[in-house]
Amino acid sequence: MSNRRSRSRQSGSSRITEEQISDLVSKLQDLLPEARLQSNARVPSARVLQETCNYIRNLHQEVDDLSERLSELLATSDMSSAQAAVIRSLLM
Amino acid sequence: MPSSASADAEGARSKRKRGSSAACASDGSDQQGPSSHWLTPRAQQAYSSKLLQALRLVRGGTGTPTCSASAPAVRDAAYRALAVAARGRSRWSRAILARSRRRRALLRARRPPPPTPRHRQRRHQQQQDERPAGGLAGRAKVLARLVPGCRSLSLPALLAEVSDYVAALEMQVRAMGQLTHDLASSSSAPTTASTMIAPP
Repeated sequence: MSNRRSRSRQSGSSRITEEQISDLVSKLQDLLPEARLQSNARVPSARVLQETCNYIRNLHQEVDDLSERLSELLATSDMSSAQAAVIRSLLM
Repeated sequence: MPSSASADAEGARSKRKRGSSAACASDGSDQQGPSSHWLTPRAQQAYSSKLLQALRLVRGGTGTPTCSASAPAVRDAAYRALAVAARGRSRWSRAILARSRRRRALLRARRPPPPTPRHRQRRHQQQQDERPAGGLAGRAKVLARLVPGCRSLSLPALLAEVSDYVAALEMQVRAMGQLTHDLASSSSAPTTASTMIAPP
C-alpha cells in the first residue's frame, strides 16, 4: 500500500505520465466487451472510462442476480449437493 | 476463523509480489500478468472452491439448519472469496477484506446480531447513467467510486486497479453462473448426484 502511494506521488515528467495513462487505457479498452469487436478502433480515453463504469455496474448487477439465485438454490438443496456440483465442475 | 487464517497466510505469501509492484509499473509486459491471471480455468476453479467454503460458513453461521443464507450474505461471501483469491495483491481486494474484518469486529463487540448489511446493497444499487462534467477527470472520479478502496488513487494507479478488478469480476460471474447451473441440475436429480459422489 505504501509502495503504491509513493509511486503515485513520484513527480516524473508529464510526458511519461501521459504515455502511461494512454497505455493503461488501451489495456482497459481490451477488457470491455463492446470494444473487443472493434479492437482496431481508436476510442478517446473519456469514452473508455465511461464504458468501463457502465460495464462494472453491469457486472455488479450480475453478481447480485446470481447471489439471489444461489441463495434460492441453497435453500432448496443441501450442501452435499453443492459439493457434488463443484466436484463435477472441477472434473470438467 | 479458518478463513481469516488462510487470508493471513495468503497475505504473508504475497509480500514478494507487493515488493515487485514497482517493477510491474515500469515493465509493460508485466501489466498483463494480474489481468490475464483471472482468465485461467485454474483461477476459476480455485475461486469456486473458496466460494463454496465461504457459503458453508454463511450457512453454518446462522446456527439454525432451517435458516437459509440470504442473498446479501451470499453476495458478501462471493466478494470476500474474490478478495481472498486475489491474495491481497491489489488495493481493491485489500479494501474488501478490511471491510469484512471491520464488520466482524462490530459483530464481536455487539451482543445482539446486527441487521443485514443493507448499506452494501445501497452501494451497489444501479445508478442512473451519469454524464459528469470535466471529461476524463470526472469519469475517473465516478470510476473510482465503483472500485473498492480506490477513491483517492491517482489516474494511472486507478486504471491499473480497474483492469484487475474488471477481469476478476468477469471470472466471478463465470464461476457463480457455473455454480448456479450445477446446483440447479443437481437439485433436479438428487438420486444421480448422491449416487455419483460418495459422502465424505
